[in-house]
Amino acid sequence: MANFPGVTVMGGRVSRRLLALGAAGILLGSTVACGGGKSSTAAADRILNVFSGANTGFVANFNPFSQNSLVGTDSMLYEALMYFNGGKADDVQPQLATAYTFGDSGKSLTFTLRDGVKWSDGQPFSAQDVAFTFNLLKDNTKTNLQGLPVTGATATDQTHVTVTFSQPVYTRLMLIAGRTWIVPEHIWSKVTDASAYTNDKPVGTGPFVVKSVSPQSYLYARNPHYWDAGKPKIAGIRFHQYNGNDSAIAALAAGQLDWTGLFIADIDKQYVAKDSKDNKYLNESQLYVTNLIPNLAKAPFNDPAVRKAVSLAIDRDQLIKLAFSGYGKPASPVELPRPLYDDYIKPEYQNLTLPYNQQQAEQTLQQAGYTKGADGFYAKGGKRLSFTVKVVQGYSDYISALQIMTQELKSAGIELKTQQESFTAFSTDQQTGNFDVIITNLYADGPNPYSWYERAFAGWTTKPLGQEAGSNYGRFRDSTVDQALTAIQALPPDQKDAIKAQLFKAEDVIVAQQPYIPIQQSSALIEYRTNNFTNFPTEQNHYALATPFNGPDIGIVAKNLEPVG
Amino acid sequence: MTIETQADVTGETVPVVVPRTRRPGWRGLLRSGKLRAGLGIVLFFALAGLIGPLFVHDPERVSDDQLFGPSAAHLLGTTNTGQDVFKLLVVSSRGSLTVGLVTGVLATLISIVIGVVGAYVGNRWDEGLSLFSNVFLVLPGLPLVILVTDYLGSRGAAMIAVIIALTSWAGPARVLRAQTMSVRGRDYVDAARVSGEPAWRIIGFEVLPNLLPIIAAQFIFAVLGGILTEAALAFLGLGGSGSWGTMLYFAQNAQALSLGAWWWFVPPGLCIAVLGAGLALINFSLDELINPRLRVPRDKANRPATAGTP
Repeated sequence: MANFPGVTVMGGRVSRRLLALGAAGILLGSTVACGGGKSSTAAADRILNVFSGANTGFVANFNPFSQNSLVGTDSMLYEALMYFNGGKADDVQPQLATAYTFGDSGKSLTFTLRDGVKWSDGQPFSAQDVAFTFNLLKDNTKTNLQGLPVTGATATDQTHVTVTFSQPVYTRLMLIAGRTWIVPEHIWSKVTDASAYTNDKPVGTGPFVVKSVSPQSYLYARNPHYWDAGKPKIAGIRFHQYNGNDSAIAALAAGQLDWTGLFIADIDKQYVAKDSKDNKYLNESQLYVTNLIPNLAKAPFNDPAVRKAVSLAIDRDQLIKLAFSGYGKPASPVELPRPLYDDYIKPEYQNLTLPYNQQQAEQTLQQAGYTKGADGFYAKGGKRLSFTVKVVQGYSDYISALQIMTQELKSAGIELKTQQESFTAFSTDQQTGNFDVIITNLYADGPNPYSWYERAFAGWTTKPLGQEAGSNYGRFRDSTVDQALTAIQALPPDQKDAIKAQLFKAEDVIVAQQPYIPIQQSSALIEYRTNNFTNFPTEQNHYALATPFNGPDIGIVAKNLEPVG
Repeated sequence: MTIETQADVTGETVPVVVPRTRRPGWRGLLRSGKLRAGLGIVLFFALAGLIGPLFVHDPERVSDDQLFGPSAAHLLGTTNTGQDVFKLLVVSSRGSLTVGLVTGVLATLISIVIGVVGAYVGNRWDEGLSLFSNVFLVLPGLPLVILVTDYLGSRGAAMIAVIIALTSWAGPARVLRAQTMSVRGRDYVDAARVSGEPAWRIIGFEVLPNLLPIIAAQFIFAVLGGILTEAALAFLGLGGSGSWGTMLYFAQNAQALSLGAWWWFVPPGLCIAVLGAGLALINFSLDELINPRLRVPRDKANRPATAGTP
């Protein structure tokens, strides 16, 4: 989805929401200079205004182990040991840790920690805090959101900590070092249930501290104890709530927001043209790949010829232009986002594209034993080549895309039907394999494509039809791919060439078999205004993902922004 | 002029002044401008929904003509996927009307069964059914419909209509119950009962004909409610049955308003408004038949001096 899913206004609550919005408007009016002009506040005291998609009122929750915590808790208040840049492969930066070494063939990790770090209450940060955090994951499994196989953690001295695991964790370094938010022992050791704690007065090592929270907005201010000298340069950052995309777009156009990620149709006309000097945007197109995922465990999609024919019959340029507002990018048959993982794509597949050729589609079907019936559709053994694509209702860009594909496939003699389902029904069907085809995204993150491939194609992440699979919903199984992925699990992350060699083996299988039918690479529009603040990520300087939605990238961007003038 | 007693919709018996010469029957009603305008509008849309789709070829056909304004090639312009708005509008009218009609029929049937039967049989049956409808009356309609539609997997126009009907029959049932209570105590009903007529016959031949104007009004109201609720649901992305609301939903998602593509959202909005007005006009004229106090005299000389003051 290019926009925030689920931003709808439910009946009945509208009037109250509108009231709240009115109040927020008044608040905004008093804190932000009107119009699109430069803020009159002195540069050093200027607050950055952000909308990260919140359409309901804010409730204070700054618990990094909770899935309901407010945006910014991860990486703006609490920090991880290292930063893995989501916008660039293999870009790993030290944060609380300055170095790491694997031991015991990947079953233990020793981190060297940064000196002179302080918690936001002034107490010194130490290796004890890190050990405490990892032991918390082990003792209270509800806090272990990533399911890390931690068996223990000990601080060997003030700046060294060793974490041990029940299995090699070479492929999980990012989750361990980059997604585990370190909390202070002197506070969290007194918390009885760390997963349910709302933590409304958070103490972290991050660049910001919480200043105030109201249902309409919350404010983070600069942390005076922050370890990275001279950062953050901005005085604070305020997160706003709007009841829908339209009101947020209006606020952006009125100069009340500095940074957001809104889907805007015809962005050049509706946004950039209104202030071409300062209204900038970035299309983050490496977050996911939209796919038709067929059910490979049953007919007709267990036949590779059918998958190839469908893929050949789809005009992706038209789809991107009409259904995805022209923002999407062509997807690679390797099923990896480009240019993010270009380094890991086999050279001969680098520029491979998915052709559109209806004639060839029909030939492929004929060779596979299909014959065209009087109704214009191909059939085999008396059974018409027809399938139903399930889609989450309200995902209007996917629904439009399916309308277009219905026609494209029809002219190639293939029948596509669409069934809209609620999100819950869709999730269940996708997990249990109750579908012919689903339209959904493949995504994952990591310094290399291992986790991406594991989620999508590893045999151990799927289940037989009827049982709930965690990912790999298409039920893809291939021994070569499994062997290659298993081999990577035993390779330390710095052995890049060996990892590449294994990934290339898996890519050969994916390109040859084409298990899924890629449609497009994601488009996520990120808007930022440069009249008050600069140094947002750009395509040339992609020091972090520009998405203002979640950690760790949001914290990295926030601490690197600079006020103008 | 004579003074009659007449039950109003709350079931109270109130004296009303009725000018005998102008008491309109069903035939008199047809002379009312409101009714004729209302019937004309509804008939127009009914024909559009019934016959229109037969002449529209492939309404979902996409093209590269993105967001074109109205022209000879596209009477009402195109959407962001190059679909013809006029074709969509014609096909969608069938979806909206089907939902309205099915909702109207179902909701009216349920309200007659619950309201009339309960009130006529009386005693425990009445208390039970009345409690039942009171419970449904306080259920918040739209949120409930949203929950139910979200829970059900697939949803066609018929399914949506059934759900809306199930949440909207309670109000009419109460009105019919009140009116039945008043009718069942009348002499001719007593007479029929004493002469040994079976209950179904009394309800069907003595009670229901007296309720016909009310039922007709409730039916029209239910149709209107069905169309509006379906539009609301579809606008929230919960419809998926191809109606005017669905068009508005897609227009909203493609930001037609801020792109200035008025031809995309004005026509379906206008259709809902005009058809709603047509149904409301019919309803008003039926109301006038039921309750003469609402009738506006043609000219001042004819106005009964004491009308409406009991």
